[in-house]
This record gives sequence, structure tokens and C-alpha cells, in this order.
Amino acid sequence: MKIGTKKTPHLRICVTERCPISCFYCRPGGEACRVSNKKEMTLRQIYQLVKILADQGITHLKLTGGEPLLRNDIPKMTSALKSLKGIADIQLVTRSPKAGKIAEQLKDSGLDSITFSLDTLDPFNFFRITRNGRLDLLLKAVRKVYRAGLSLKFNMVVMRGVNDHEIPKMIEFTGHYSATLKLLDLMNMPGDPKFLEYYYMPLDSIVPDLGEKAKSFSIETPPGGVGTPMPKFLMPNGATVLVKDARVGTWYGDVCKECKNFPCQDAIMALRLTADGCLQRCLLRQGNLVDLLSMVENLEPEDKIKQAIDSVLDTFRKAIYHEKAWRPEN
Amino acid sequence: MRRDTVILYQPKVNFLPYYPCFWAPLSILSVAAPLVEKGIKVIILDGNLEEQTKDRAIVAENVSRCICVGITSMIGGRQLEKGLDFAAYVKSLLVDLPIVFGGSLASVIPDQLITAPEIDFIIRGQGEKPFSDLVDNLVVGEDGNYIPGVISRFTDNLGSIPMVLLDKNVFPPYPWHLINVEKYIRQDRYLGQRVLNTVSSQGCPYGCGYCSEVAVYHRRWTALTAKRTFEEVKYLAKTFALEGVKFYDANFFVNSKRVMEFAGYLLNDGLNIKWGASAHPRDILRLSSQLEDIKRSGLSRLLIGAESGSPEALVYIGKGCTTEEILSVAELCSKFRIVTAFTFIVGIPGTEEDINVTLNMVLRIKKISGDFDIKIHFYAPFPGTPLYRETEEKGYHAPTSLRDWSVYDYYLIQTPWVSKREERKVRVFGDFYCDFLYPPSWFLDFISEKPLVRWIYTYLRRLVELRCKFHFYRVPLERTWFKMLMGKDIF
Repeated sequence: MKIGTKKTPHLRICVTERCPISCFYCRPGGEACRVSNKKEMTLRQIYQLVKILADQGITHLKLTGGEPLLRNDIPKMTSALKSLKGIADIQLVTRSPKAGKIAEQLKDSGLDSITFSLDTLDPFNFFRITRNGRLDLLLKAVRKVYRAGLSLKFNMVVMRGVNDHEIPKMIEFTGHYSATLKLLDLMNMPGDPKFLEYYYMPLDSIVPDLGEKAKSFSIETPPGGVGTPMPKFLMPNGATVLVKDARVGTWYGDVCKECKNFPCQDAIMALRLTADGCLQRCLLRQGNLVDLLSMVENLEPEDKIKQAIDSVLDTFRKAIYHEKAWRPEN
Repeated sequence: MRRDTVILYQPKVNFLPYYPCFWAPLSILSVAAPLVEKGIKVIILDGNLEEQTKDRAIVAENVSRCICVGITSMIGGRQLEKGLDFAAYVKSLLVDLPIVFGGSLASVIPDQLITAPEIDFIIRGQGEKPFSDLVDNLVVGEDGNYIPGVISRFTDNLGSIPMVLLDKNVFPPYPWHLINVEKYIRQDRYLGQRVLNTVSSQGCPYGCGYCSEVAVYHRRWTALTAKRTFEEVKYLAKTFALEGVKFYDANFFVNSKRVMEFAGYLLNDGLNIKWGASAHPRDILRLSSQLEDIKRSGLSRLLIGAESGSPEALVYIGKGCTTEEILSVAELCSKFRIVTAFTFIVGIPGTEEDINVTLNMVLRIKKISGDFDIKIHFYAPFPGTPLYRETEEKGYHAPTSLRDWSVYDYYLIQTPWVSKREERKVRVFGDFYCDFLYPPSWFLDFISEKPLVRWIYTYLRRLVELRCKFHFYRVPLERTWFKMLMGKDIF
């Protein structure tokens, strides 16, 4: 058990809850949910909030959704956020073919990398997972982004019987772009107890094989030090493979003590800013949000705003690492 | 011989493709409940279960001790025809034995039904109290007394007979022991292996212009309390080892507080049961912040009347919601993984509605989740509904005889302004193309292990995408090819 990272987590900004596809593993209320509550911050509002958060020590940003590229102002947003003092790294997480069309603009805006959610290289499987997506269009976008010179990452949620057989193919594909492939374990689905039973694939089974084939091995922790530590393999073809397996262990904060979901799979891995401007500590709870946007719009005193942010950041600063706390069968 | 028995009969529903299975005869069970409480012997006969001869043998055996025979009929499935046949048979045994007709058809065309020589009384609307009072009268030999909700062949002014709708809580629970419940337990893909239907409310406060509920209950609504609904479900679940319950209420979600209390009882009790029900889109939006808890309580199936993709048509029929609200409901249901069936109506008079607008709406909903079911109906005029008069002005001729009513079916085209070509287009779209373009997850799981089928599907889908874009559904070759490939119609 490690106590206190004393670090500030990275900030995931949900710029929209809208999404044109319906990935079957996507959670209700999660970042990548195709439900819009019709509230979406403007660029000015996002800028204002991130400015305050950057003053509090936030350095790494991820623009997520929904599908962030459903907004037309992402290049402008990246450029504005990158200009803020303290912001060192901005990533975009997308599955939209539009990324290819605006790759040059994104590059020029100061975006550091693009993470494509790419679970499969099989067109049918892609459709099966996303329910409404075209793999050929996405792969075209990947090529354009690569040519534009942006750093590439791929997220692959590994699901038993769906795409687990495609890992070697994905590593090979990633190698073509000298990119990073993050293998993610499937997250449980609240309200559907059978979900993990059907599709969960324990990722420890693939680690020895990767270790044998890899040129080098290390352990990577997400920015801010919270979140699940991940084995990192540098493969001979130039691909970097990260394996995120929640069973290894992760960080839980003071708010987790009383939580009915403890020990949950997600725990506290990143600070989130919801599409309607609330700070969120974890994905499973909606009850302890801090409505930062309202505080700013209502011109609350600066001290009060900082105090509210501090209370949220304290959750991460005082987090405790629990080894092997979560098990899919729990 | 002492007359102490009432026979209640539900005629067989003709199992056209539109009636895939039959369910427990709740309408006659509900009118049986007050009688059972009074100590009257009730025999329930369901034409869907027994051979005709067996039903008739039971009637013949009990006819001498019968107080009356009650027959229910909905509109469609040729129930009226079979009900009248049954009534004629009873009269052939004992001509003086009173025959009482009830159900939705009897409630809206009592004037025509009462002219049938086999029928002595009609019950309009909720039948529990009127039928119970009528039986009391018949026992003491007083058949001429005025009873609210009861029309007799001697009633002069049918309009003077009010429809009764009393608080559902004053009536006893369904006497399930009168039927063989096992025969009505069905498998449902989303609710479980053992699923039974029940009803917790009657009527609906919305005034949709096409809806028979408006004609029968005049926008009134009554429901069991949340506690009683829960107790009923718990009794059924424990007694019959159910995995799921389907509420066949016209609108289960009218009272948000009742729904939340019901969900609370299920959650607190830990009764592990899934349930499904019908709702108006506005009611689901009103509950959007609590939908997660309702889902946790077991809600797994919803039936939502979307009706049209045309904003003008929604206003015209008085649906009381907008297309945007319907789409928001679809998003909510997708978010909480509630498998939802959306129903649509095409051919509504006075809207000059473009069918393609509604088909586009269907595609927008299916795009949100392929697991949604879509059911597209053709507008069927119904006496007593707000749109009915205008329908007649547009050239619709209502059935004028009971024989015509016998073959009336709201699943079939009733209006002259829907052409055969339009019918074919809508049917092939609803039965095949919308599901093929946005298929349910079970289908994708099913073909994922079949390399040839998935390859063919991937490319045929591109063709279907084009068809749906231009709404060209003639010569549905993809359907034929896919049927040949799979050996059957898959959707």
C-alpha cells in the first residue's frame, strides 16, 4: 500500500456528451456515452475553467466526449488551452473519421497526440462493437493524422470472444505508425451483472507472452501518479504496448471509504470536467460533483472556488494504493 | 337446481403473424375477482387454450347452474366472430341464459352489439362493478334494474348509460387460481425464461386522437397503489417462479411517485425480477433523473408510442410531445440499456403526412440503438376517438354490421387513402430493412461466428444503407438473399 502521490491528476474534459455511435461496452453516464443532456460548455467557459484549474497545478489535459470532434471548435480550443500557463500536454481521444480531415489544423493548434479508440481491424467487428461505424473511414483518418506528424495512440478494449484474437494484429498495425497501443480491460456495466461474465478477458494472461517478445519492459503510471500502474513493452516492430489491468491494483480516495461500490474497478484515475462544467472525482458517482461552472458564472469569491477545487484535488493527493483490490467476480 | 356459477369466456384470437402469442385473460380475471369474493363459482374458459369442443362440453355440463355467461372481445383477431358463435351455442343450450358482452369493442359499439339476438347485456368500460351488480340482480331475478355501465336490450337511450371507472384498489386481486398460469408463462429475450403479463392500471390521461383508451375511458385513469402492485408482483414471482413480469397497462408511468415507490419496493425487497411496461414519452422524460434507479429495480423493456416523425402530425393527433422529446427518450433508454419498442402510425388522416418523414424518424431511433424494436402500424379508425369523425369525412366507411366488425382488424389496412404500394413499402421497411441496417446485438453476436454470413452482411448492408437513404424498397432482393443464406427470415 502506497500512501499519497502528492501529485495533481490529469484532467479529462468531456467537451460534449453527444456521440454518433453506440459502442456496446460504453457505460451509461460514462465519458463516452451517446446521451446528451443538452448542456455543453462554450469554448469561453471551458477556457475559463481550465485556466483556474491550471493555476491549481493541472498540467495534462485529455479532450474526451462523447465524440469531441462533433464540436467544430476543437482546433481553436486546443490552441486556446495550450496558451494557458502550465498546460504542458493536450491529447484528444476520438473515434471520428473527421480527425483525418482536420489533422493539419489539429497539429497546428498545438495538440500533442491523438488517441484513437480502435478495438478491432475487422470491418464487421468494428460495426458490431460501434453499431454504427465504418472502419475503412477511420483507418483513412489514422493515416492522415500520421502523415500530419501527430503522435498516435490506440486504445483497444479487449473483450473475450469479440476481439481478443486480434491483439497480435493490432500490435503489428501499431508498429507501422511507431505508435502506442493501450490494451484496456473491459469495464463492468452497472445494472448488467452478466456483462463481465460474457465478455471480460483477464489481461494478465497476455503479459508473459508480450514480455517474451518485447525488446524492453518497464512500468508506467498515468500522469499524476493515480490510476492503475501499467506494464509497458517496447516491441521489436517499434510499437509500444501498455496493459491496463485493474486487477493489479489502483488508487482509492477518502470519498471511496463510504462508497457502496468500493472497491470498484475505476477508483480515482483522473479528474474529470463534465460537459456541463462540474468537477467529477470518479465515474460511478454523481452525488459529489462540484459545479465549478456555476460558481464561476455566479462570480463566487475566488477563495471559495479555490477551496472547492482544493477539496477535490485533495481526494487525489491523499489517495491510497490498494493492491489487487478489485476482482471481476466481486 | 341452484344457480351459483358464472362462465367467463375469452374467444380465441386468430393467430395471424401480427399476434405472435396469447397472454393470460386478464380482462375476464378482473371481472371474476369481485364474484369470487362473493362466493360465486366462476369458470374461466380461454379459447386460445382449449379445443372448441372441450369448452363447449364444460358449458353444457354447467349450463343449468349458470347465472350468466360473460364474453369479452377486443377489436381484431376475429374475436367478435368467435364470441358470437359461442353465444349462439350457449343460447342453443338454454335460450334464457343471459349473455353479457364486455371488452373494448363492446364499450365503443354497444348500439350495434346489443342488436345481436344472442346478446342480452353489454358492459361499457371498466366491468368489475357493473358486472358484479348485474350478477346480483340476475341471482334475485331482477334483470331490468338500472345499473351504471350496463346496457340491456331494453335500454332506450344508450347515451344515458354512464361508463364506470372506479378506483382499482377497491377490487380484490386477480383470482389466479382460476386459470392454469403455467400455460401463460412465456419466454422473453430480455425479461427471462418465465414471464407473465399483468395489469396495474386502467385508462390513460393523454388524449391521443387515434387511441381506443380515449374512446373507452375518456382520458380517465386509475391504478393500484405502488405497494399493491409490488405485492401482486411478489406473489406472482414467488408462486410461479417468474423471472419477469410484463405490465399490459395502457400507460404504467402516469404517476411518477407511484413508479418510484414501486421501484423502491423492488429494490428494498431484493426481489430479483425484471419488468417491462408501456409509457408516454413525456412520462419517461419526467423520470429521467430517476431512471437509473428504476432500471436497477428491474425495468428492462419499455413500449413507447412515438407515432410519427412529422412534428405537424404529432400536433394534429394530440400526442402531447415533440419529435425531439421522443429522440431524447430513445437516448435515455439507450443510456440505461432499456430495450425499448417504439410504435409508429402511418396513414393518419388530415396530416398529409409524408411516410418517408416517419421512416426517417425510425432510422434516427434505430441509429441510437439497434436493440430497439420498431413497430409500424397503419392508422385504423376507431369509433369514439377524437379523429374518428374526420376520418369518415375523408372517405372512410365504418363497418355497419357485426359481420363486418368481425373481420375488422387494426393490423390490416382500413383506410382507402393508403395504397397497396405504400403498404408494401412500409411493411418491408418495418419487417426487414430498418433492422438490417441497424441490427440488434443478438443478431451481430449470432453471425459473428459465421465468416461467410458476416462478410455478405457487411456488403449487403452498404446496399441497404443506400436504399434507406433514398427510401427505395421495391424488389427487396437483400431480404430474399439473406433468407436463402440463413434458411429463414431472421428478423
